[in-house]
Amino acid sequence: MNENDEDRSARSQVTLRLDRDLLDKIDGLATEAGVDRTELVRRLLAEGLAHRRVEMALVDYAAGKRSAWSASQVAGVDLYEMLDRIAEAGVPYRLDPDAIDRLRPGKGSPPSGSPPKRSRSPRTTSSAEASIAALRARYRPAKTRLLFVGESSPAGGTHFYRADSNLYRATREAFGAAFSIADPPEGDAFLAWFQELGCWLVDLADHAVNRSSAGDRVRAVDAGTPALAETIRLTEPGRILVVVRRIAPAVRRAARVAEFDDGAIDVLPFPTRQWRPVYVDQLAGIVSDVLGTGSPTARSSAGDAPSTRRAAIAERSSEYGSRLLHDVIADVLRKHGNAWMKPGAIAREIADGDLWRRPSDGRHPPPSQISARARSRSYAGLFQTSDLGIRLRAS
Amino acid sequence: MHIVLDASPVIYLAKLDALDAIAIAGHTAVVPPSVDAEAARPELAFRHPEIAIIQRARAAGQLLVVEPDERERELAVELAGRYGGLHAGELDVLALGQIRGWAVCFHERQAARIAGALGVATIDLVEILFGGTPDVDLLERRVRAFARLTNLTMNDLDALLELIGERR
Repeated sequence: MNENDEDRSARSQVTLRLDRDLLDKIDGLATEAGVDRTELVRRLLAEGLAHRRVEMALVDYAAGKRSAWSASQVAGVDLYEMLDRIAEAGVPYRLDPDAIDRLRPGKGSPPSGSPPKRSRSPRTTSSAEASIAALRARYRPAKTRLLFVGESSPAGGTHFYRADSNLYRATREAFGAAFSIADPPEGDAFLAWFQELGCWLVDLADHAVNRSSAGDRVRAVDAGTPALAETIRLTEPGRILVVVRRIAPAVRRAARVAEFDDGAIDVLPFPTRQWRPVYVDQLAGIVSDVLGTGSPTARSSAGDAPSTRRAAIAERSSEYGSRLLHDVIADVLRKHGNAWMKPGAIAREIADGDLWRRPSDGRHPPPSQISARARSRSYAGLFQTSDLGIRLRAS
Repeated sequence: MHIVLDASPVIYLAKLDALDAIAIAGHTAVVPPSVDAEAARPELAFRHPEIAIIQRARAAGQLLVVEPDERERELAVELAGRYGGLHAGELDVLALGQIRGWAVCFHERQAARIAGALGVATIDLVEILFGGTPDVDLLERRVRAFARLTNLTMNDLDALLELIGERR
């Protein structure tokens, strides 16, 4: 039996109809990899199948249908890798309440098949939250210029002030970008720098709520509003940065109570998944704008008085070629008395009035482009963005 | 007291460099060969340095490998038919625990519940950490590291830190 015969007996032939587009991409990759199309498809299928098996095993594990070890068997990986995948997937781990009960003083630790049930009294402030409160107090700046407001400490024990959370990493990256530092300080050194710059992070809820039900989360956030109002009153920040969009209404309520100008409140998306680069870019712009890092951003007004600009739009509705999108957005906002406008409404206004077209394809800008432009680092000094929409920053 | 450990607790204790906690807590750590084979796979040692820790603990007699007898093997097969979602090695742990009257330590609550339903005593990994780490600072470090490794919920971490606080 020669090599080809062996290959034929070990493999079955499959006919598959693929879109031309996909096939072209496969051919391109195959050329790059220096293999033929069949070999590449074989490899892609094997990789895809392995990935799918792990995903299915993770779903079963998270649903409590399989142990990690059993899931590793389904996934075709060793237990070490499965435990890593479970951790990376963020599947939460809950202790047996009976085990915690057995650890309580006076309970001893006799293992039992049917130990007494643990009775949990409502918590006020736990030691984990107390330690975060201590860190927050330690890094409180003498004068707060930027007050960051989060929802709560994340469940799982990480926190910005422990220098191990997503928020910490993305914020460090943004500060690095704002100050053009390729490798900004890390850990305590970054937190001390953050403090020196007059930046401070507080949370609305006094306990972790990111894994709570929507109702519990809203109640915890609402309960923290009076304390936030007091913090705003005491610290008189130059700017408030809300780092979770869903808490923006509660922050505005607190700001109103504290008589804080809502024109100085920015709302950023929480830096997770696809929102991380948006958060980093937008925050870098705001930091440059407020702290003056030497990277100037566009400012409101652009030279012309609003009324003149409005007239210009009316007169030159088709002369979009020489104008820039942010100028057109600014004009639309001025035309509406600088009220909050959603990106979709701005996009409609631009399309209806044929105020601007993309040089690349001659089309009107979609809402996503309006949103991206307004959040862009370069225009942090020009636009204010929030869950309510976009408007011009007061100059 | 003898404790039969599943593979995940062995791996986590090794990652925390806390395998000695079992003996310090006054227990004898036992694993069936299936658990030993999974947790201490030599071919994975380069990627997972904790395997060397497990091998060292076994060589030092801190981790005894106990072969299930005929009756225990039969029970493991019987349990496989009754309880899905568990690996054969975990069934070995349950069978050893039930027939020899030893406590068992699983990472998953579901497995611990099955043990409870069979009348097998269970002990949690955090109980081993608490029982075998007299140094409170070290205990806190181990608990925090365990929380990070496992995505332990904030509420549970709080409860454990409260208990550590009471020991100070």
